[in-house]
Amino acid sequence: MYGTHDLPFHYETDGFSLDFEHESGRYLYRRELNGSRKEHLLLSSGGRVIVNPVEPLNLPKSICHALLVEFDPLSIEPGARSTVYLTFPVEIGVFVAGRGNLEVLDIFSWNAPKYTLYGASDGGTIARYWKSPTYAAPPDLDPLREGLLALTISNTTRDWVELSRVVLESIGMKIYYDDALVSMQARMRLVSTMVAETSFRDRPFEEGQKKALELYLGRVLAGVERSRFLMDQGL
Amino acid sequence: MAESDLDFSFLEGIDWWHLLTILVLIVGAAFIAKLLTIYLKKSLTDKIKRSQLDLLIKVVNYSVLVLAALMLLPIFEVELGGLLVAGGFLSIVIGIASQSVLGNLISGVFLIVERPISIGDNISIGDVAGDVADLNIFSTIVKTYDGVYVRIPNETVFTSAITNYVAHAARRFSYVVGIPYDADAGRAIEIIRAVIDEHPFALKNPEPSVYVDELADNSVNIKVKIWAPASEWWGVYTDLLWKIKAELERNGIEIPFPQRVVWFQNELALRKGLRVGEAATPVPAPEPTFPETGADSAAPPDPDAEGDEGR
Repeated sequence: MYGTHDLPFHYETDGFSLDFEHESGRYLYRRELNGSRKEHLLLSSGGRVIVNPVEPLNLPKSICHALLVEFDPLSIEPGARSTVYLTFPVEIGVFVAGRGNLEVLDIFSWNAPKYTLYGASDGGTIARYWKSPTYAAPPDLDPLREGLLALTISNTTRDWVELSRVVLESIGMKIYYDDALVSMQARMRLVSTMVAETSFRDRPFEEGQKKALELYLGRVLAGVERSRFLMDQGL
Repeated sequence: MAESDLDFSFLEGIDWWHLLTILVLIVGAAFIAKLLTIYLKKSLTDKIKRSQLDLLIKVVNYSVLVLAALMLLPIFEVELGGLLVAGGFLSIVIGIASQSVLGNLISGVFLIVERPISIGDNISIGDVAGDVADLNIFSTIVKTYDGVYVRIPNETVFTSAITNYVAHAARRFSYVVGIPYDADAGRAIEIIRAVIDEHPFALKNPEPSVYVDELADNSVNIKVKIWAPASEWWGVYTDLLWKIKAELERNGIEIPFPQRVVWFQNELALRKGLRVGEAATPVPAPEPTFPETGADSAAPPDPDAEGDEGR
């Protein structure tokens, strides 16, 4: 389903259908997923549709800029650098392209959204919550439901550090995809036993993966966007 | 009538050309301010916060206004240095004459510095509750939940207790859910927790708290405390209460009405409770028992005794 397609376009799988139907000079967009339905009329003579995973922070509506992935507690030795494989929820964006411009038509997901608070209520951050298993090697995942988060943890301290969550900033989130895998690569630099800084690597996890269109890059003024998150309220 | 001492001689130098220039400057400034407002709204609405955009527009508008005023001054042959001195004196006089206005102004400055509220915040000041629509130098404009415009002088805002419901990232709210005494409270808590877990904006952390809080007159009261993002709490509050009620009922736990168990002291009272013509089912009268104490050893009242009519 992912990729760029010419209009009209139709895709169907179990409990899901996505359809751009051409009727009398216009297109009717219809999407059904597990009983929920969305329709939208497009006054366009033609064009293309792009379907790709987007930053998972839009459903049921966008209220925050951070994704918190919780995993089983792990400890990392002083000075070590290691990569663990986690998952993140996939939200899928449908874009229409015409005359050099893009418009987000729909965002949907198979995953039920849940939010949480990172830190205290007065100085904390609202974040999208996701509970992930921890893998030593990249697992097989359904690209429509879950993405692979390759997290490289560097412990720059002289102590063992225990951690059980990572918070990632939506701005600068780099998602890559193909038909078999949705992925992103992140870094977590432990600067003390209580503080870490997270950021993204802008590269595909596997050869041939395409970079997804970013929603959150266009929503900020150039030059002032933050792409790192400082986890200063616990690991 | 005495002749006015005011000196309008500077007006003698103003001709039609000057008037036209003044008009063009005023209209031009208004036009440019409007144009800039529209441009800023178009280009920045989806990029920065609404409150920041409003502040930016205000700064730009005032800047254009001040620039236009400065451009007008040479027409009236006003020297800027003299104007500043005169303005200084004038502001002292005006300040003394209008202390409340000055108070509002200073309070406004302090409010801007302290920033207890921002445009769009959900607040309560005194008996006014609503969303902050605007923060001016003299007053704060609140749009109440009924959509009513309320202007509060900044001095009042500054000296009042301000409740800002959205200043923090998250806030907690609570319900009391009553269940019948014969219902399983543990099962009810499980059901309520499941409903809360399904809601996207009922925060995972801090965890919701659900517990038996009170053995009340008519129900066992379960207290439900939920954290939600400050911007979304009202929606969660209104959404979840009904879902909890519906889910409890779906699982056979009814929210009880107020109820009272009434015990009649004797058979007569039961008979008197029947309507005329209704046949009373003979109910064997319970044998009244009384403790063997001196004070309570008096016989129970005779149901057929005189003087019962008044009961």
